Amino acid sequence: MESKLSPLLAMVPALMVGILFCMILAFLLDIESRELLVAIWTGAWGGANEAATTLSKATPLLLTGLAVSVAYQAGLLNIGGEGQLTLGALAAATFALFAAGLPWPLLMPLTVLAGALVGALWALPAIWLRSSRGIHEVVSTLLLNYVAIYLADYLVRGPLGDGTAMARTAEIPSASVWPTWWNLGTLGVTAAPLFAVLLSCGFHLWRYQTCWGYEATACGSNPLAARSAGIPVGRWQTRNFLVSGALAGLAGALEVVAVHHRFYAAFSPGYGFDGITVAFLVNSVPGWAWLSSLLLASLRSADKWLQISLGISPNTIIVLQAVLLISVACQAGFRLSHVFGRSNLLARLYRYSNQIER
Amino acid sequence: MATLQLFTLTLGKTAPILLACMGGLLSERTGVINFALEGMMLMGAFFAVWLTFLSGSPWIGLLGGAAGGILIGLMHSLICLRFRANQIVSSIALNLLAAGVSGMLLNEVFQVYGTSPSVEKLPTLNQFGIERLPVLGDTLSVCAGELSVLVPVAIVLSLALIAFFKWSVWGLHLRACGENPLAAKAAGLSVNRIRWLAISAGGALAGIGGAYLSIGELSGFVEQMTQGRGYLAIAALILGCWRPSGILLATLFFGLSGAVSEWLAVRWTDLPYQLFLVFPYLVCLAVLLFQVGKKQPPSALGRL
Amino acid sequence: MNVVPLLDMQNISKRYGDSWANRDTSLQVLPGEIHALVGENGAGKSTLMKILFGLVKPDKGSVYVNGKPAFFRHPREALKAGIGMVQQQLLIFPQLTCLENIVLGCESKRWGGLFKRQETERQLLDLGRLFGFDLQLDAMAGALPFAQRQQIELLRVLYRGATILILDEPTSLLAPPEVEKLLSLLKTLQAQGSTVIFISHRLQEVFSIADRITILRKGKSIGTRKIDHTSSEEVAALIMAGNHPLPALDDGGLKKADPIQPAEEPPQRAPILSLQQVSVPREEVEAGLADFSLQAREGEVLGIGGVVGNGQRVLAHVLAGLKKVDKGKILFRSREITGFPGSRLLRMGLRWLPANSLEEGALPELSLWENMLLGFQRTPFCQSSGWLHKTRIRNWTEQQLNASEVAYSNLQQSINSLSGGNQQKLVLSRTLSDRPQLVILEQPGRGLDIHAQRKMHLRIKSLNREGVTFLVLSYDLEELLVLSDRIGILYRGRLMGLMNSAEADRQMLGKWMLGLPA
Repeated sequence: MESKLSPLLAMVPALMVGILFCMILAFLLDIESRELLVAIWTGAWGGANEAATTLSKATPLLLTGLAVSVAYQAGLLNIGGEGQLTLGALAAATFALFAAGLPWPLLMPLTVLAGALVGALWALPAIWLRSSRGIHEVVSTLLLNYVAIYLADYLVRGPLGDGTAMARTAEIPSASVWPTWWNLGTLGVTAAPLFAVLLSCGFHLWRYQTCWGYEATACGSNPLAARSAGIPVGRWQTRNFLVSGALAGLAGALEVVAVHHRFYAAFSPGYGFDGITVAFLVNSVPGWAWLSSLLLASLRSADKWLQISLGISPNTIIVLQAVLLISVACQAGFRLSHVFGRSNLLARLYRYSNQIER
Repeated sequence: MATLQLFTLTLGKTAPILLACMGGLLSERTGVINFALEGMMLMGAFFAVWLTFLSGSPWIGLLGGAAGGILIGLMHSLICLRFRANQIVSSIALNLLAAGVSGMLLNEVFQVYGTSPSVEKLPTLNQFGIERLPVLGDTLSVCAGELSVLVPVAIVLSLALIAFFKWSVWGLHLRACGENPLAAKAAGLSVNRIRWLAISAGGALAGIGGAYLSIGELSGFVEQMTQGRGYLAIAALILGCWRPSGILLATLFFGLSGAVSEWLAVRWTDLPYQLFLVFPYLVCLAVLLFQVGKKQPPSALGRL
Repeated sequence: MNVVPLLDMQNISKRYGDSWANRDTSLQVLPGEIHALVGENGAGKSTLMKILFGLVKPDKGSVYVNGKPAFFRHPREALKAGIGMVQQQLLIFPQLTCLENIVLGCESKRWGGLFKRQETERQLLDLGRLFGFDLQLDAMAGALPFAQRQQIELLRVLYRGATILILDEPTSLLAPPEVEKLLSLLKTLQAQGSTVIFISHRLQEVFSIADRITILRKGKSIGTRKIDHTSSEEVAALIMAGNHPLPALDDGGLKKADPIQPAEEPPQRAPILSLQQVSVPREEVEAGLADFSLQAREGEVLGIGGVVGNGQRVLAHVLAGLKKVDKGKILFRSREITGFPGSRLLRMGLRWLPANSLEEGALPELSLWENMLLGFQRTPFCQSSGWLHKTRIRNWTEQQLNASEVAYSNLQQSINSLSGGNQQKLVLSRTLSDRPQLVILEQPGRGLDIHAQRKMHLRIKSLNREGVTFLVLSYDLEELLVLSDRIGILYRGRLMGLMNSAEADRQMLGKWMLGLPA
């Protein structure tokens, strides 16, 4: 981490490649590229309702992005966000239904906590496999994703369902629902986005201003060196990974209490994987994750409108996301100055930002 | 008869994972981490259907499947070798890309969502005329007649891979790149070229594995049809200690677990169907958990 | 008699940035001789040979082989001309067999790319017998000790038909008896008609087998002498003329001129560190500790030497709190510290500089101040209630970096942007800062050039005078003899013996290094 601005500068080339991709796509589909970009904007922010939807989509994305970045801080890759989110959501819905008698000051936080806890529990096998058997957490979290989805599917169609043929739980009691806070359009926005942003600020401070955050970062940077300085690497990796799972579970829980008010089969439209892009677009800096989560939320919100107005498949957004992630990944070994040369403004900005003290 | 059914079913389930695992093996033995097998399979599956649709012949489709996998392989090589990106992040991004592109093309080319129209599939062994084989023809026809031709192809390829690594000089060069690329370069090997070729060849194999799913088993493309087989292949790679003989056994084992769960699903109908779907993944996790001994990956895996 | 030189390098010049690695250097090597190339670190010996071997392109100059101009752009071409080089850094494929290691790149193939394994095996066995190698051809190269891996490299060039062999500092990691074996091997090779160019800074070895010797100093050739027309003192003087005296050479006579030896014996002091019958199980390529007992006295510099793989790494890890002991006790100033975690040992004043100080001591991608903070992040100076005192940390980092003469532009910059030597200086200065009590140094001089080494040795000695005790673990006997008050040798996890370095008997040390009792 070299300076405050470097995460932003990591995003710029990726955005440029993304826009280039949109232009190529527009050319292939025989529409004006300007039309395409305007359609994306309209779909995401064109009206009050669209803005509300985008903001509410940004919440789980921010949290899964935080999850990935917290794990990556200690050097681990948590790809299990899908499973952790799904089970966290199911846990939250189930808890709310079972503990329906509790008053709202207890029920609301406990519901959300239940989701976070289950998310952490689902991350536990993966980190355990890594520390005891050396199995890479990517393989185990991916397998656990599938297990989670089938498990949730079975539970929601069976014992935890609402008894109808629809694969969903009953609606959670109103005491556990997060109320609308800002009446934007007809949909409104809950406190969830703000909560997520505050959480990300908290993680940012912890990571960069405390000695514990420093220790965890050292573990991710060079576990051998951290160990030789007496830092318990295994413990930090486990802690960060469990918190990562908890964050993904929290994302699921908030989706239930703030947006859908119940759990249903195939709950996550891929938020767990989006978290990877959210995190890497801003170089895993928690304080900037809100920006990339807004970007990805915009893309996700826009996909329906793109389909309606321009006939573009929603899968296109997934491709765009992948392109963004690839561009960000390529930058790690690829200095801007190679492409643009010394005279270019962007390269100069990049070098300048590296000299700004934090 | 039950064992025969199980045997056939196992082989059928093993083939795609085996092909993908061989693809991963080629890449990882040269020192490049490859978790993008899922994406390679998916692209292979779609391209196989697309090309079969365009040409009318599933054999052309098979080539298309290989091509789809090679495409992802080329991208992985570009991102990891030329741009030196994190190989795992690249793999994940490519899996995402493949899911998106295959879905997008499905919508654009066939104007449908979810499942492609039916296309001609590859012949089964019976249709290929296996009973005409001299000695074993009749028995094979009875046992394995319903299997796709790709199944023996997969097994033959796997044996060829074992021979390749054991006896050929190129196999030795490939292994050298994954052990110590600096030393390999000093010895006169063109490490980059070997890696590009190996990853592309691996992509072709994984693509064929995907093609098996779409035009070998079914006769069309379904979105996300690989369902995690690419990741099972990676687990098989680890369990097989990165050796061609090891991965044959490991993938057979996973194939068996898939076959058993499918076989039981029909017989134990009072159990929830999700259990049978999840069974192979649970078995995989269990085996990873209970494996004994240290698995030694290629010494320079992940380092460029 | 006018013999045409086999190799003739004329007026070679090579420049790296501002400094000249070789400046108008010339070298003639006669056929069938063993020619030694000597000089201190940085004199240009390696560069000159790399130019000959085709690894480096010279800026000026020409090379003639057998009277004909030859210019190699790649080691492949040099090998075709019969020149082979064994470098200091061995390039081995750990999970391939010795046979595969040796023949990789020029395997004999049958049609279809099939490897002629049996035939190659026979060829190599013959070759090995001819020269007296004793390699197990189907053993995994990664499991072999260093001396055997060196044999793999030698066989590699011999298999390719090299008749001119260049060896770059081949003996620096070998125990004395292994050195003997290598030297006699070279003599055998010479008898079979090979020519050997032998780079070394160890004059004793050079004088035992070389025919002629060329001295390089600061990139220039000072002269070539026939071995029987000169002496080690003369050569040593030629190497060092013009520099302040540096105790860098393998020659007992020079130590008398060494100004950094203490004037008198340190008086017997209380033990600061005491290991009592410590046993640690062995690792894969490293011996553990077997009933190991050692006492380091307060205020001394105790050196522990030995060959790679005999337990030094394990000893270091045990003392750093990274490894648990099976049996035995460790005491720090009569207080038991067995099993204490690394963080606690750090707080007690026990510091450890790892062997690969960059791979094991630096945090890549993180900034300079973040690297300096490593190990100190929980001290009251650097944080209160968890919040880091960034300004204080930055000021302290600045102090330390300036004191170590590390060139940097901004504390925020990534440590990767520093040169390798500067990175090492940062890690070293972090280890030595804040008044440590006992510092364990692993291979401190490794990778540093002669002047940086000298600076580091001086700093160690000055800290030692202020009361810091040092335990230096090194594979380089010379470094230990220069630095330590007492020197001990580890063999297979046992302490073979201890002696005062002022009266050090190299023969005895050599015997200990190979496990032979006194």
